[in-house]
Amino acid sequence: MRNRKLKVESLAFSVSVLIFGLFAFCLTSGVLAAQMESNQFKIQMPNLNFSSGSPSSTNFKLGFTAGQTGPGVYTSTGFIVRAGFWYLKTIIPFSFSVSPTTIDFGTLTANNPVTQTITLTVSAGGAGGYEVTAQENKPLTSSASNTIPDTTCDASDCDEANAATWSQDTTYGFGYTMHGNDVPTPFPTAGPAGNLYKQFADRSLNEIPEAVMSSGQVGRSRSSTTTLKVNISGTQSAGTYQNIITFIATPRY
Amino acid sequence: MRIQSLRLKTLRFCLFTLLFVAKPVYSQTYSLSIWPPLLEVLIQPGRTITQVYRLSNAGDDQILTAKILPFEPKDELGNINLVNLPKLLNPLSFSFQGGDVSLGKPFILKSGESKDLVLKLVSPVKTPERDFYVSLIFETNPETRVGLSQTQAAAKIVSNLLITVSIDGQPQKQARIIEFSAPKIVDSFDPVPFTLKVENTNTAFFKPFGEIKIEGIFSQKGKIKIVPENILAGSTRNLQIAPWKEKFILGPFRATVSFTLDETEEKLSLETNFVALPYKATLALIIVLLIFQALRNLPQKMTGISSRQPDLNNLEAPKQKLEKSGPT
Repeated sequence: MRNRKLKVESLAFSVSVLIFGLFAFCLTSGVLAAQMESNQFKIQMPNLNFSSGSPSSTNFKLGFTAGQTGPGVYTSTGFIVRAGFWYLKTIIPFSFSVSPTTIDFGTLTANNPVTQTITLTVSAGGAGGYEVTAQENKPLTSSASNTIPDTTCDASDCDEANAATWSQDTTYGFGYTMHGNDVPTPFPTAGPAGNLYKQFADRSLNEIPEAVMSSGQVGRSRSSTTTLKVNISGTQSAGTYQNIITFIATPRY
Repeated sequence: MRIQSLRLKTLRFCLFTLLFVAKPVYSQTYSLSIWPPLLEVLIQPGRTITQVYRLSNAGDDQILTAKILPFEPKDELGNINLVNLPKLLNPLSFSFQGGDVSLGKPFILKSGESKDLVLKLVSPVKTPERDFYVSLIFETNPETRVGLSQTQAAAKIVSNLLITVSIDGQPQKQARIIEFSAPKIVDSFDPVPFTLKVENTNTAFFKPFGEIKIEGIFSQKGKIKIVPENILAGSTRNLQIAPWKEKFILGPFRATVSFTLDETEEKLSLETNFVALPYKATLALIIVLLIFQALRNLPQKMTGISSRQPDLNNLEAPKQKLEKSGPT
C-alpha cells in the first residue's frame, strides 16, 4: 500500500516536472533574440554585451565600455580591452561598398571623351567619423608600356590635390570628378558632378592617397559617385590601357 | 541505343557551352563590414590577448587578404596614414587563432558570408612601455582582364587598434590645451561655436573627460560635454565640440573648459570670453526703420509736389480778369 502511494507520488512529481519543463521551454524559446530598433537606428546584431558604470580592479580602472559580438570585455590582471567607440555605445559595424569594381572604357577614339561611374557607400554608425582615400597604382598603361597620362585639365591647373575645369574635347588624359555625401570641396553634394576634375594620386610617383569622402559625424549609407573620364589624342598609341584604383575606407580613431 | 546517342549529344552540347559560350564571372560589387571598428588595449609586457573581429560580405564573392600595418595620425581630425613599415610594430606579434585565415594569405569570403576571426596579440616581456597604433586591413586582390581598356577598383576596409604597453597599467598622461576659443562677438540668436585643440605631450593616448561651462553677466548659464575622442601620443586633436544653443543670450560671457586625461587626477582648464549681441536683429531693425522713414518721407514729397500743381479754380480768375478788361 505504502509502495503504491510512493509510486503515485513519484509519477505525479515526474509529470509535474515534465509539464513545468514544457511550460518553461515554451515561455523562453520565443524571446531568445530581441528585435532592437527605433526610428533612428536598428541594431543589426542584437547580442549586446554592454557593461556600464566604472568597473575597476586594484590595478586598472575603466569607464563605460561598449558591447561586442565576440567575447565580453576583458578585465583581468595584465590587460584591458575596449571594443568600439567609448561615446557611441552601438555595435553597428563599419561598412564600405564599391560598385562596380571593373570599369570598362570600351574602344577609345581620339577626341571622344569616355566617362564611367563608380559608387562608394560608407556606413560609419559605430565609428566616430570616417575617411575614404583613393590612389591609382599607375596611370592607364598598355602592355607596351605606353601611357594615357593623368589629365592636367583645360588650363593645365589641376593635379591630385586641386580640381579644375576639364570641358574641352582637345584636353587629353585620365581624371575624375565627384558628387554626393561627404565629398571634398569643390565637388558638389547634389548631382550632376560638373566639369571640375582631379588626377588620382599616383603610387608610382609616391603621391599620398587623396581623400574622396570624409566626415566627422556618425552616418549611415553615405554615398558618392565618382565619374572617371578618359580622352585620348590622335597620336595615342593603339593598345589596351589598364590601371588599378585602390579605395581605402578607415574609421577615425 | 537512341537514348545513349541523345545523352552523348546533350553532354557535347553542355561541354561546348561551358568551353566557348560561358564567360568568366567577375566580382562587380565589393561590400564589406567589420566590427569592432576600433579596439583599445592596455596591456602589460609578457601578456597575450585575443579579440574577435566579425567580417561580413554583403557583396559578391571576394578574395581577401588580411594585413597588419602601423599607422600615424594624418591630421587633427582623427584620420590616419597607413605606414608601410610593419617593423615599427616590433616586438608585438599578431596572428589569427584557429580557423583557416592567416595574415598575409588570401582567403575567400563568399557573398552573404560572415566570419568571426580571432586576432591574437602577443606582447613579449621585453616590449617597451609606449603606444603602438595598428591597422587591421582587409584588402581585395583585383584581377586584370586581357583585351579591354579598363580600370579595376580595389578596396580596403580598416579597423584600428590603439595599444598601450604599460607595466603598472597606469601610463603617464600629459597634455596641453593648444587652443580654446569662441568668436569674440556672437549673435544673440545664433549657436556659439567653440574650438578646442589639445596636444598629447606624452607617450600614451588618452580621452578628455570634462565639459565647457558657460556663464553670462545676466546669470545665463550653459554646459557642453566634451566628446571623449582619442588623442594619440605626440599628436594634436581638434575636438568636436557641439555648438552652445540657447534661444537668446545677451552680454559678456565667460566659457571655461576643464577636463581630465582619461579618469586620472591630471586636469586641464582654460577660459575664453565672448560677447553676445543681437546685431543681426539690430541691423534688420535699422534697415526696417530706414525703409519706414523713407516710406514716411515719400507721401510728404508727394504732397509737396501736389501743392505745387496749379489750382485750376484759381486759373479761372485771371481769365475772368482778362474778359472783364476787354480788348484794348
